[in-house]
Amino acid sequence: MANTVIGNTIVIDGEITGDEDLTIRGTVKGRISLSASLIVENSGVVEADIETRHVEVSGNVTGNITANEKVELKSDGRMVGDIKAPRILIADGAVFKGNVDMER
Amino acid sequence: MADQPCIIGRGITIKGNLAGSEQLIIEGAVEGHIALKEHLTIKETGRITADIEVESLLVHGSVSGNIDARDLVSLSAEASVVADIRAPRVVIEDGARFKGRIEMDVDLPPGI
Amino acid sequence: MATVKTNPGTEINVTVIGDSVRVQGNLSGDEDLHVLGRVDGRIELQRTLVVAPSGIVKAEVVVKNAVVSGVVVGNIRASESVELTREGRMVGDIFAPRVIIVDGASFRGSVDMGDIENMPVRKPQAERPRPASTPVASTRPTSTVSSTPRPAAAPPAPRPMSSPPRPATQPPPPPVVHTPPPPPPAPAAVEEVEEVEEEEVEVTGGLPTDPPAAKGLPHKAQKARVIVKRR
Repeated sequence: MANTVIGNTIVIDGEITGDEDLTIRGTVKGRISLSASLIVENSGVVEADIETRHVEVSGNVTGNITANEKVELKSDGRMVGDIKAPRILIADGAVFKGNVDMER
Repeated sequence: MADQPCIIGRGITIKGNLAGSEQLIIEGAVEGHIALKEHLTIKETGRITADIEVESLLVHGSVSGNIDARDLVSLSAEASVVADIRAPRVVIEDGARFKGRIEMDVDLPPGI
Repeated sequence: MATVKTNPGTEINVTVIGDSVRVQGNLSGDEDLHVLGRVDGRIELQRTLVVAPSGIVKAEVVVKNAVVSGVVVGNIRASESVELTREGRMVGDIFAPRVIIVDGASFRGSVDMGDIENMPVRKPQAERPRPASTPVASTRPTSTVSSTPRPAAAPPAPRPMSSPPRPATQPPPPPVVHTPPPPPPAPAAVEEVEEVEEEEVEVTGGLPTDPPAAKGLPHKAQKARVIVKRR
């Protein structure tokens, strides 16, 4: 269960770094660099490059994602950007436009 | 859903602007600018280097920056704050460390 | 000469400036000072200054402790602590290692506790120089301040200040004499200032460790008689 929650009225314009799980329900523009998991919920809007261990997208992401474990686009996720991760899951219904690089 | 305040955990650092209209609890670090239309709590582990505009503020951690609040600003005993505070109500608890200005409305009797 | 006569057996030295008294000049001494009236000038004490809700101090203040429930215009330098209580109003700068501002106080100025980075985290001390029991204003007859502690989100609008308008508690200012004080004979006595009224105020104190009530009038337990004489 994520500890840090960015609520849906919150707008962050800048850089987020950290070593704990992060759930985004609001808006983040900039950069995200986590050594743990990132969850972008339905209402979340992320315009940022993301570097993390694991990402789960049910909201809107514009930017590149680099994950060292896994990237998941859920059925209501929308993403524009490149994904670089060893494991990728794109659910039916997800909308994605970009490159995928699973090379180890 | 948004009844529970949001928490920015200890392990998170935000550099930039943070704005919102819900209650927020910060346990991590924020550098930049915070503009919140609700109550902000800075926990003991919170480290803020930012100008803060809030509805009301409760500080247990450390803040460096200017504080502008529409209601109460309260510095708890563990707080360490270097700031200019502008608010209608300010509370400094015994033990709080503070350096800066405080601007409240002071009703002075006539003839002073 | 303002002196304090205490009953044998009690050792509390307090000087009280009654609420119709106005002092202009310098006051200094090594005892507690309660101001219920008005002091303009300079106050230097090695003990505690208590400004009662009716008190007005327009002065530079250098003390060990200060508890402000009235009006202070001027800077306060305290070697131990400064507290602004719920009815306290202050415009000026505070220099003290320990500062307490209670909800309801109003303040404009700067606060300097010294080197706060190197200040150890201090546990709030249970004992602080207080005039009497905690809510100083509780028995003031004209106060309409609600005494319930306010939650953070409560009405922000005009704070219920101590409603009695100041003029009500101060009689029309008696003629104030401005003589510069003669040099003090001994450090223990409060320095000479022209007092304008002859007034014998019976002040009863609270607990042994508390100076008499800042409200100015009979409280409990010990008695200290204060005689303010006209020269």
